[in-house]
Amino acid sequence: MTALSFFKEVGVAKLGNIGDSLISWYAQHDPETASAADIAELGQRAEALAHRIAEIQVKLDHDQNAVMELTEKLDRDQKAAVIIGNRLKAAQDANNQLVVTQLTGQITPILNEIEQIAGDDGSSNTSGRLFDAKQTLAVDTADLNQFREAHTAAINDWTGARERLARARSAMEHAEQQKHDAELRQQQAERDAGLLHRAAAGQTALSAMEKRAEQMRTDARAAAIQAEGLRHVGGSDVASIVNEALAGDQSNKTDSALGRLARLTGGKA
Amino acid sequence: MSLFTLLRMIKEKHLSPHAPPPLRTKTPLRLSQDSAVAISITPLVLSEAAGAAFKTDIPTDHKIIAVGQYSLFGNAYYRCYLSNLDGGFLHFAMRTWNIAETRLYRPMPEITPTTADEWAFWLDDNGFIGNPDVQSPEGNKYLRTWAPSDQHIMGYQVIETIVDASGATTTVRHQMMQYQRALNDPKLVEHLLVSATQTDTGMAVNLWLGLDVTPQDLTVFASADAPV
Repeated sequence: MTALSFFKEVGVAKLGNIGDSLISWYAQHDPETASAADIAELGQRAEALAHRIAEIQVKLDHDQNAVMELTEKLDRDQKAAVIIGNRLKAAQDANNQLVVTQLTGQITPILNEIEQIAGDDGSSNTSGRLFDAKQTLAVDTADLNQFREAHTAAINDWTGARERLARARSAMEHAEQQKHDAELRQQQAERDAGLLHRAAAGQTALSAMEKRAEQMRTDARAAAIQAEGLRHVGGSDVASIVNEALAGDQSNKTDSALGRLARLTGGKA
Repeated sequence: MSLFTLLRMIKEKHLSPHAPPPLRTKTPLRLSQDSAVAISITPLVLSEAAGAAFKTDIPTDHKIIAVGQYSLFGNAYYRCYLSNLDGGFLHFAMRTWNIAETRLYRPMPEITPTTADEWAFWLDDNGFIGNPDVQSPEGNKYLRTWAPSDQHIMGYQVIETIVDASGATTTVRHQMMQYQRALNDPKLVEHLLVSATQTDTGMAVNLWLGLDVTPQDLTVFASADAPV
């Protein structure tokens, strides 16, 4: 498991202070992994906030329905109470006790319901189920706005961090490429230098070989002169020996060639 | 045996001390067999004031003595029969498990045709059940709400399965049609449900007047064993 996958799997938020310490350690020793872990944490936070917003929205829908239903019920109950109240007043005016009793039995549960919904004063401004429902709606609406703002900030943080990491990665890749290119140029320069050096060395060797060959030719002539000198010991002076040797060298070459021709052709040439 | 007689028998059986362990139907608002309900009189008062034939002179506190179920138009319908209103019931039409309709139906006097001609009046190709509009005994005109048109259609046949509070099951065959009329309050209507009902022991024609109520108009005291 890599450090990043560890952070993702375990969940940095769950690690608390330990997670912070780990990230700090990685920030010193492995900045990229630490950055990715930070970003993962930001992403998790944004996701958690989004979940919370969804929950509040569902609750808010429920709250709004509750307020609407209670408002409608209160309106209907109040209308019904007025209708029965008018009948009750008429029955009382007519001194019809039977109807009064019957209507009182009808209106009492409606009045109780109005009190439960709208409080003792029927206004729903200070107490009652409708007042509670309105309060809950207001609190949940405020919560929703607060979480929306937090979510927007979290998304911005997350997006910004991802962009920063992307830029940092790009800069690192660029630096790596520059380094690589520089190494390639250096290697090429070394190879080029090597090529140039080896060409000079070759010329030196050739010169040396030529010098050596000249030396060898000199040595050969010297040997030939020495041999002729040995062959004419007691006869010619040195100068004539040398001359003869040099001349002989030429003629010997010719004789030799002619001799070889004669040998090879059986004297027909 | 007519539907109302059957329901009375169910009620008596339910009150017997030798009642078997009860079977409960999962119903909206946990209005299962043996649950209690207090119906707000508000919708009745408002409708009556708006000219409904459905008056406020009915008891509002009941136990549920039986629950009927049937399927129509691909939707589930429930009838929670009321203890203090013979033949009266709370009606729920469901869209999946959401309540789409909540109504209180009170019965009109049951009619038992005795001759073929009397049955023909209700069930013929041009019979009462399925007419584009019908007139109640009080002279109110109701318009057909199922497949409304100016042509007669046959009543919809459904089989209602009723489980009473003792757990016994009965089936009722309906050939029925739904009508309604506008009241003086534009938000309110009054329904008229007409059904030729057939049980194992008899046939009759039943009519119910219905009013829309809301779940908030019902205070439910669910029985301890009412399915959640």
